[in-house]
Amino acid sequence: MERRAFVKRIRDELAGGDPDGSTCEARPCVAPAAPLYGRSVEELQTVFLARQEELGVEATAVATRRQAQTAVGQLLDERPWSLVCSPDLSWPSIEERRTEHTAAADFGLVQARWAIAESGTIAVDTADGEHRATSLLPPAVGFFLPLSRLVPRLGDLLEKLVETRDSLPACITMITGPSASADIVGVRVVGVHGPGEVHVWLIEDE
Amino acid sequence: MAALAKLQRAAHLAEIERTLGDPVLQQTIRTRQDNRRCLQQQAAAELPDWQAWKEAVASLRSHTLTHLDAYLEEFADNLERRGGQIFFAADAAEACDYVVRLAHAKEASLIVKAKSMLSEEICLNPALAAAGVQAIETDLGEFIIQLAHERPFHILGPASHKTLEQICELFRELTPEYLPPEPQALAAFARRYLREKFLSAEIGITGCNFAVASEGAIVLVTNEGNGRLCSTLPPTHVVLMGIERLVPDLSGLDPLLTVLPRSANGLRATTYMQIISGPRRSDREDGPRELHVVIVDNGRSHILGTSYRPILHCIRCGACLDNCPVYRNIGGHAYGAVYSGPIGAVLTPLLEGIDSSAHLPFASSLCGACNDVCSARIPLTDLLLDLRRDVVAQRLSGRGWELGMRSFAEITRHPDLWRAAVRLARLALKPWVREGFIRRGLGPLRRWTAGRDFPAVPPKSFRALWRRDADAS
Repeated sequence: MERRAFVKRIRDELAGGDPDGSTCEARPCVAPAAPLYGRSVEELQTVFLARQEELGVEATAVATRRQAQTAVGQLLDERPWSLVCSPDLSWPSIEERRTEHTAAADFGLVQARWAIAESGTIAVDTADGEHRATSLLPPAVGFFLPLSRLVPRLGDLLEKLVETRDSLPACITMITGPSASADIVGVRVVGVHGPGEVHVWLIEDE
Repeated sequence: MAALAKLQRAAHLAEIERTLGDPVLQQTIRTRQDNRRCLQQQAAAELPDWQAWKEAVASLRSHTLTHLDAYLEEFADNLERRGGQIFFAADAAEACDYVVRLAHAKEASLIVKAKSMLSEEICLNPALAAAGVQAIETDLGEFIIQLAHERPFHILGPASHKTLEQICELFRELTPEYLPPEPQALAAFARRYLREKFLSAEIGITGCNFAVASEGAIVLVTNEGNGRLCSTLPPTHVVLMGIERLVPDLSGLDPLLTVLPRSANGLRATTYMQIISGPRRSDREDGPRELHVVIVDNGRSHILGTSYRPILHCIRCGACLDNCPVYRNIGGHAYGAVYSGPIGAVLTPLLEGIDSSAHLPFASSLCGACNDVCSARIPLTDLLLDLRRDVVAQRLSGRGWELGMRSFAEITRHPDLWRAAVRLARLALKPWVREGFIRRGLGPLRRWTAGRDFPAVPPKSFRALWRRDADAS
């Protein structure tokens, strides 16, 4: 149906119920105002790490990015993983395992953009490259998360997005724990289509 | 009573019979409902002001629908500005036709689909199959019911009625390998089987939980990752969106995404929540090169102009199904439509026409549990009662029923007539009483007693007992 006719049909139906159906200056203030947690960084970090544990995510707080890189190196040594994809993260010791072929990678490593303490959610976006597949196709995935990017709750993250809405990336993905399903007899299983194993390194000095 | 209505009602009753007579299924529904309800209650209790959050959802949904025409235009403009393409589909046929034509234009032979109730509603899969395009459902639950050729049993857990053995059997048709009847192994098989499909499909189709007008963005709320795969790997991503999915701006997502995962699965957040505003921006990015959003009306705009508008506030959390004593007994298939439970009992007659589903508004005890748990505070039982009034006003309830109800009303209005009727009923119905209940009534009573426990008239009426006790003291 042509757009004008489609919208007119809706407008006509609305006019029956509400005389000023086509104006929308006043958008309601929607969310309850009270914050759920205090905003001290330590408190946020504690809540976030506790959530990761509940979700079955291996989360570690490290002091520096270098320590995070060392931790990734150790993990790669322990595991039978041969191929890593990390489009925007690189340092000498993982270079030899890097692949451009995301679908064949054993481990994906991604720079997280934001994180939410309340729900233990990590947000990535497409602004810097191939984040959709990197955090999705490999059976295991890891995130580098600067502590300064941790916000109390969803509303705070949405505020950040509103601030930069002119340059909104094509896809922002908020990730909470491993890929999960309870579609088979109500039993929770992980790694259904996305990664079943998730690691987070929370970098304190960033 | 129209022939179609009669047929639908007969199928409804047969499905109820079948569900009630299947002890395994009864147990499955109960367990699943109890588990989900328990998780939902825990998640809600964690927020100090849960009711305020639901109130926020209700007022946001009400505001958005009041100005839906303007928000739709804003959404369309912004999505087009960001490189997305929009098609306005007045009904199911137009929506299916657009997707079929797109599939032909892209020379697509395989389409991967994420769970979309709207897709089920418009019967997209049969339309694609008729056009020679294979569409494969990738949500684990939808994948299972597609193999079983069934409708969703629950809007969130489409295959929640299937046992391990049944699922195993369905999967065995796809592979010669041995599959142990164990959830993790079956899920792992589905992952392997479907991953190949994702990598070779030309088009991915998803639904749309919310559409942000101010950004021209669509929001997908999922758990398994198949929704992400459908919207990432194929070069073309098609979004099916009902007209009522809009939200004014990004801040409006706060109450919606706070309430939905908690009401749906008892989660603080679902595993994946995506905000997609257009196709990939540059060749450095991955993701689809084309994004098509099909905005479907299919009877919705008509509801806007009626007193049933609040039903469009629904955010499809499924909590009303999980808390409904009727769903608990009759299950999802008895509703004979894509949407089951209280939401289905209201929405189906409104979308498909009340003459073919006149029985659905009566598939409720009006206990109000659905009103209490509704994420958008929709007064579901009020709407069900209004629909019942419509059924009666349009004389869709059948002559016998109407006659019975009218006689009942007449008798209850006249005390003498009532006393006489009770005395008469006590004697006349005696041959049909089994263990204190009338098992098979006569005439209009037969339809009532076929589906309900109708107590026999007690030997002494309340008035008689009252008089006796009053005399004794």
